[in-house]
Amino acid sequence: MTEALVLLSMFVMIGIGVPIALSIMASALIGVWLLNGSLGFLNAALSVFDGATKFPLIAIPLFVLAGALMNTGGISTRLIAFVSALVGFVRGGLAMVNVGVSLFFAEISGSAVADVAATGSVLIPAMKKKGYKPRFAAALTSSTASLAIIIPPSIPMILYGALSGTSIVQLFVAGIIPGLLGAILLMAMCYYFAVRYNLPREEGFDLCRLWHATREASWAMILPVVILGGIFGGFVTATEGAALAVITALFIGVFIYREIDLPKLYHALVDGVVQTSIVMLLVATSAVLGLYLTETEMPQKLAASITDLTTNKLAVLMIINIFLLLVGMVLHGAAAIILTVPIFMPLVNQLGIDPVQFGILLTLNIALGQQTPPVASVLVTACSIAKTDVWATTRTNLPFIAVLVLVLLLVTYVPAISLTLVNLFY
Amino acid sequence: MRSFVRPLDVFLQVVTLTILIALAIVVLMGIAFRYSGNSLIWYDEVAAVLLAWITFFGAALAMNRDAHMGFNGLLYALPLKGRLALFAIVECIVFAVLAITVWAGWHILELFGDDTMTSVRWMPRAVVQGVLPVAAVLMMLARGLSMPERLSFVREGRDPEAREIEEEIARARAELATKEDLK
Repeated sequence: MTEALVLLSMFVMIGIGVPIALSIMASALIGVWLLNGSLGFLNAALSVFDGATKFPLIAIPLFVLAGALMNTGGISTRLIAFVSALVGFVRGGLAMVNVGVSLFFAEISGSAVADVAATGSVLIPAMKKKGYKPRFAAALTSSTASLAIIIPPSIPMILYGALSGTSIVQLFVAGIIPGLLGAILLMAMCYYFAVRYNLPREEGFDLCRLWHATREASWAMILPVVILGGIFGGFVTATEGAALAVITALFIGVFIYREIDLPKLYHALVDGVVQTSIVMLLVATSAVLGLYLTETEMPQKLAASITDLTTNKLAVLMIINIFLLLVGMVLHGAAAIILTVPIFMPLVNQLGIDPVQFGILLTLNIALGQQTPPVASVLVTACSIAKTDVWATTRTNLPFIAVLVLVLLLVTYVPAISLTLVNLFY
Repeated sequence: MRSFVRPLDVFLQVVTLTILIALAIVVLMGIAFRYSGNSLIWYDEVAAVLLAWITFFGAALAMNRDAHMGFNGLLYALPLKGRLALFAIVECIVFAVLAITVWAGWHILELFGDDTMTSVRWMPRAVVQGVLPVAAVLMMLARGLSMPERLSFVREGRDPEAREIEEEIARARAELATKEDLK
């Protein structure tokens, strides 16, 4: 009973506008004080520090650093040109480019809002100029940006992996097929709309242009090869892969493209550090809440009460999906992961659900949560670039949301979609 | 992101970026030495501590920019009186949590005595963990000094998320405009 009140106090504080990390800390402090008095506070100070020393999470600031180097070093613009030369000739080409570009830019700066602002400011006005409806442009940009978080490297996956003790490398591998599947389905959806509304081609297919763009982007494309090859090949951990990405991006930016813009890089780095710390403070304070939850065995009690109801894996996964969807409507992605993982993990383990599959399911739910108002920062950003109404855009977004839901259901009910590659390699 | 207290912001920028660069170098050294056959024994522990330092100093930086994740839907849906009342309650909770963190963070330092890091024997544990109370004090400072400005936002009813989105878009547009000029 007390545990429920402690958790309730946290949600009340979040609801009235206390920053989420401090709401978590406040309720955890109340909890440990009830258990152990002021000695509990000392324990809390120890765990909040320890919570911030999780080694796998070092990958987050390093990927953010690599992203800042890519964006300011001319790597990103070449990747966009390459995608454009590759798929721009199809009907509705610009929409396809939008999907393709988003795959490369998955949460690269650590802030979904900043990424959508960066890619959306280029693509949405271009789409409007070519006769795409603003609402369509906003909805597509928003949905593809969210799909991108299940394609590695993905910050929500790093968070989930570190919190649940699941291999981050395996999560990255598991995200590939669902991510590509989602991208193909979104592109198919775009093609359908392109034919129906007679949307334009970007330009004719030009082998010469494609060759030129490929040659220009070939250095840029080394980057994913280095990161993913190193990580998947087992040469380096996810964290070290991130460090390799930093040094590769720095090398390409300084010696090959020679475009690194120092003031812009500094700015991007500071923003990246802020974004990293916001997420990390949530992780650190949730360690204190974890301390309290462990002492009271609340997650185990919750697991028991749900397994009393049903032990059918699929039914439980459905309950969790619906719960996460509701949480995603009112909480930002990282906060949703940090709050739900410690509570659900005992249940997932007890039922024998594969933690890698569960991680992909969780990440897809986070992606969906970014599309569901009222709290949907990615969608809201895309809408304000396109100058469209959030709720009207959500109606246009429904087919794209349906694609995300379809991928989620496939991942939930067909474990092979996320696990085949993992089983093949590991 | 706008910063409220400029000198504090610049100080924290320098501190956090220095630690970030140090962290990248440590991890790269860790890989290099492992492949050359002499793994560094201090690599994991030092890297993890650097991450914690970025976390807490960066959290103070984020506080100075009012950038911490939060839900403001209810607060900004209320009429003026309600907004002000809720604002006061929220500030009290924030300061209480930070004050307890400072107190507890400071008292555990005494418990460490002459303890050092496991792999770096000259580094006292009290210095390593002392970052927590120091950062919490900086957070209180940032929160306190930015209060008048944040209060005026609450009065006007401009919520931080809308402000962040406006600023990010304005910045992306400005960058595009400079690129066009260069062409």
